[in-house]
Amino acid sequence: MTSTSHIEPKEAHSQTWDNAPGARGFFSAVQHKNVGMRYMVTAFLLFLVGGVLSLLMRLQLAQSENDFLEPDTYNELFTMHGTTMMFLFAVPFLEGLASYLLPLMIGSRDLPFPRYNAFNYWCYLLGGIILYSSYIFAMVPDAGWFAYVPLSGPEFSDKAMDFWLFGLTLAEIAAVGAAIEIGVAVLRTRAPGMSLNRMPIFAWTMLAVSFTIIVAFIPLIVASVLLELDRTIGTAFFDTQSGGNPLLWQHLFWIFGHPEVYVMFLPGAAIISHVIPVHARHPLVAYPLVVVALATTAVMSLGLWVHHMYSVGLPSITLSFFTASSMAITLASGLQVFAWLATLWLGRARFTVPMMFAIGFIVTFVAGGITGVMVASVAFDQQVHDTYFVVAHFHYVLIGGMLFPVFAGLHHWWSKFTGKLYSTIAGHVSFWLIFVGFHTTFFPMHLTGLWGMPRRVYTYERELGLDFVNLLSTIGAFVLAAGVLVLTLNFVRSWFWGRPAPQDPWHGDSLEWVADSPAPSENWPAIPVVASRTPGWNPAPDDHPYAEPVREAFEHQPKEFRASPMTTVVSGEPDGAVLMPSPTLWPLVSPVGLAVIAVAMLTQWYPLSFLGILIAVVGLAGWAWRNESEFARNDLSPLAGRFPFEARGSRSIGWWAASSAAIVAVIAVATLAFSALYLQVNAAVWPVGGMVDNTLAFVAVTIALLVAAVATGWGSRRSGDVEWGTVTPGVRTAHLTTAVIALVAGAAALLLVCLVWFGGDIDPSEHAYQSSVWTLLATQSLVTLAALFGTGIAVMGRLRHRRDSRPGMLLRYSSIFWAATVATWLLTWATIDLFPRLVI
Amino acid sequence: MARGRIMRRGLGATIVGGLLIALAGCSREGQQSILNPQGERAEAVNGLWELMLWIGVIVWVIVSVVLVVALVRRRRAREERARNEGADPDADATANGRRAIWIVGIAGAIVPGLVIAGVTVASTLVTRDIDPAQAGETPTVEVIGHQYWWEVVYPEDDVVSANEIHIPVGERVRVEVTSDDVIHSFWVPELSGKMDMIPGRTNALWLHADEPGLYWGQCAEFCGLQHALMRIVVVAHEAEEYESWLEARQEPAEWTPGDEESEEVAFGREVFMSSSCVYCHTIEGTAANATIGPDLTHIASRETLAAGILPNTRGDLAGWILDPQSIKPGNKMPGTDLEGEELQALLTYLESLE
Repeated sequence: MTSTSHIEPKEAHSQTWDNAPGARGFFSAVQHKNVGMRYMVTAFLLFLVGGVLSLLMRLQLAQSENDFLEPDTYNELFTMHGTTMMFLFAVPFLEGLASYLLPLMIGSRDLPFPRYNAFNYWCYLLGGIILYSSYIFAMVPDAGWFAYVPLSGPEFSDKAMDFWLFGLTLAEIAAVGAAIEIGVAVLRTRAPGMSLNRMPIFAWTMLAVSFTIIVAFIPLIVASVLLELDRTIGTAFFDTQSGGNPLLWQHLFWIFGHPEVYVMFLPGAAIISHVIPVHARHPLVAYPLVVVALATTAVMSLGLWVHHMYSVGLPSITLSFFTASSMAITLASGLQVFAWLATLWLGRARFTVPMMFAIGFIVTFVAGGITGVMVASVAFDQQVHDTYFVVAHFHYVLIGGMLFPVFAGLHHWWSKFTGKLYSTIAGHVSFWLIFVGFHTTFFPMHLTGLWGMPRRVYTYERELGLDFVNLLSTIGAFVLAAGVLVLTLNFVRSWFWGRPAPQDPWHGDSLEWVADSPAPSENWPAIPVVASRTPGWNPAPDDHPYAEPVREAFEHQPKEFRASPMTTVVSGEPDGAVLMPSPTLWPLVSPVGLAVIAVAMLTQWYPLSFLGILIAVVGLAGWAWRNESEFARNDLSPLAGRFPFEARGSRSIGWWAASSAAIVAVIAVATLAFSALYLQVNAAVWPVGGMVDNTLAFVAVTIALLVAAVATGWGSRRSGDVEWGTVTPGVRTAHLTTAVIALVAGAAALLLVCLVWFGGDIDPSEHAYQSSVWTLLATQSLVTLAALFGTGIAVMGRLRHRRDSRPGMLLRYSSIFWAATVATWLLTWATIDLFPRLVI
Repeated sequence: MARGRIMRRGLGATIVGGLLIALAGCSREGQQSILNPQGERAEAVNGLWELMLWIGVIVWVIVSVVLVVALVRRRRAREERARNEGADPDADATANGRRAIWIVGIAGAIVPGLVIAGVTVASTLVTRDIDPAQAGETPTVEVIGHQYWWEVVYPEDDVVSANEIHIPVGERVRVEVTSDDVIHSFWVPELSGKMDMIPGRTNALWLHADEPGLYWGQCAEFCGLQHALMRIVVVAHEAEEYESWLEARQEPAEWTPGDEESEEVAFGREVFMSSSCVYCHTIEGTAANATIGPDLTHIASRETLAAGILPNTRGDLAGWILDPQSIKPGNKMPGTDLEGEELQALLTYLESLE
């Protein structure tokens, strides 16, 4: 293909980005704006539900010894309130916001894996539906959002906790998926010229947050699976009678739970880093420090979890370490606060609605940060832990640090989302109601806690002297709710009946303000080139070196399929092109399958789970088939002759998907291995019931998995860096042969693992050691199955494509995942055989 | 700057004023306030709290003042001179940009870093002072959590009680806590921070009271339906009073052959032994030795019933025995259908168990 720089009518290109009309179009939509908006709308509705739950609680607590609610109802309410706000509102909303905004901010036409994005949304939605269906069956979870064992275990909780576990696991699968999506988007699909040092803070933050989510949320999924195994097949992970330990749950939960706080706060802070510069009309001061601060926060947040466990009786030295780290992380937040203050100082503030929420954020969040330093102190925390002081603290941090910024962001980007204007007066009214209501509710709670009121109590005795402060909180809660109501109505009115907004009402600095409001289906008819940190204020000159080639390749094209540029990680140099998949129903199928499995488990009608598995597998297979169809159908020769779709290694977007999947598998198994090691170290005797030490089989599995990894890797190298469309004699045979070798070796490994699993007389209910072995072997089998599935896709691709490049890439992805199976297997082997020998 | 000062007084002073007024209201506090420490452990923590509170208020006021001035200042400046809008694409590299980075770094990380380091040291010192190991050679009490009550054992003295801990004043009494079912948390705010009671694990703390008196506490880790109504009371005695209390507990309150006792007490015991009471409770010196519910050997001498939620009066005891599920739904004690004479005799019997 040579230069075709004349401009076609816009429609031809735009149409490839439009959704089909009607219901089919609705369910098959995959573009980031559709999915992002769905995330936000769903999460906002759940936020309103969670808010109503809290109002009911406040009514019950308005006076001492009240009998407005039954104790069990109250316990359900606080469980569902926390669960909803943390798992179904905060994280999904922010991921939805990122889904919507990021491609606009970084100049891409879509997220790199749009169908996966849709898949994640459906998982989240179905997870939410499963959790809330517990109300229909009157089996509402009531063990708290933290679900401590043994209270949430088989002995003390009924079916209700299964709704919680299944609903949440689906939602968390979605959260991890969205994190992968966002991380790869920021790394690889930025506008040409947007080097790392020109990246908007929101993109930096979402990159850091996606790292945190991938590392921290998988332990929660693993913990949920372990608890569900304890509850269904009777494993002993948390059973003190058989080598288990209830503290394992707390460790896993807070390894997730503390980073989760920063997963909510950091994007909030990032929103502020966008709102303040625009509304103060000055670029963000100390941008490099802000980036360092948020990256430090994301990493350090993984090392603080024990400060939720100060009263479980850990050694002083451990506690001191976590005190120091918990105190130190506040410095990173301090940096950001002073960067905002300096920006305001140097700028000229406009008191718009977003700015008001940003100001409200600063005064509130700083107060929450200060009480955060207080509760980082072991001695003080042992007093206020699990009291209303802590309730006050984290609502200051979460409402102050996440909700206020989200409201600031909604008002800031509203015209970008909807193309409409909202009522500024209503906006200011809602701000003041929310701000005053918030502080009236939560400031007194500091005292409520200091005066001795524990959390999660449905009532309190009059003698505690807590009536006045509680009544104040209840009144405040209703003022806050009124503010949220005004805000919601303002948005709804604007969305349907609002006046049209100008394209850039604030004169914004970042790239999304360069796009139309709302952006057209493809976002960017012509891909923007970026030459500064503030492309809205300082656009790239027309003679920028990237301008001509990018225009040639991407202006109103390609016309037959969806595509967007790919750029290098550090300098944002144009490097290739990404085929952006089109709408399809396939990503909806597997989530339905997963939901059917959950329903089968909940109803204990296990045959149904086979149907669920079938649906999920068919969904994945159909999805893969459909993908290859698009790779087969379209002319994917390099755009303008220089932006290849199919390139070697990390220059293809699929490499990032395969690597992410590999990382997820390894982290999951590493979490299992850590759990077993933790139990081993804390158990009196380990192992119990005979060690599983079939060395011959273990070595054979290692060799077989290595063979699969090496074979697929070697096969993919045969097609190395070939041009698109090339067919080299012998390569096809090499691809097929190596794939078949991998399939045979992988199947042998799977068989051996299953033989050890079922043939070794392992009774998972006998002792935690056996439970660990059983679960690790089961997981290894699943991971190996997934790797086989991946190689199957490579075979399918090889049979469908004549050219060598795409099948070579598929083999490469498959090889990456085989390498992960080797890693997970070595972890498994070490945990079941080596650790018990080596560690006391 | 005059307007800045007005704004400062406006926003900053209002909110901080509110904080201080609220804190001044501390006199209104009730039974179990952290701010009313009555023993060494709680006092140490209270000192730390006051330190952190004042540092925190100062930090918050400084940030708020800077914020208000930043918001107001530039608008005045604008009246004086117009400024170019727009941004320098390489703002960090300019002299102004570098200076701003330094200022932000010093104000946002270095100064706070010094403060934080100080607070960390202060906190670590207090944590060391209240370490469970600092209990020394003192009497030990074991407290075992149950849904929703507390079993209290004095292992050296062979005394078992419930929902009430007696300690001598001025001594650091070591308390070892664990649980029989789910996780609970032992917390008596006026004397000590909390310590979780975890099945399969024994944690320790110590209690110290300056003065004799009643100190209230309650379960602080959500433990199920009646978590809210799981209270405990610590009774601090002068040393000799404590010794005599302990001695009295060591002998069964139960009638021993040869003692005088009224017919009603004897009948009451018969009612107790022939009804479902014996399946769960122990009364030393009788055939009742089950351990599902609280030990009743000296129930008449306790301050409260049902884990601190009812005063120990005849009427409340009757109400509890007849219908515990309406008072504390979900607790493990079933109701009874004892009537008139039988009930009265049972009450008299239980009231005799001093």
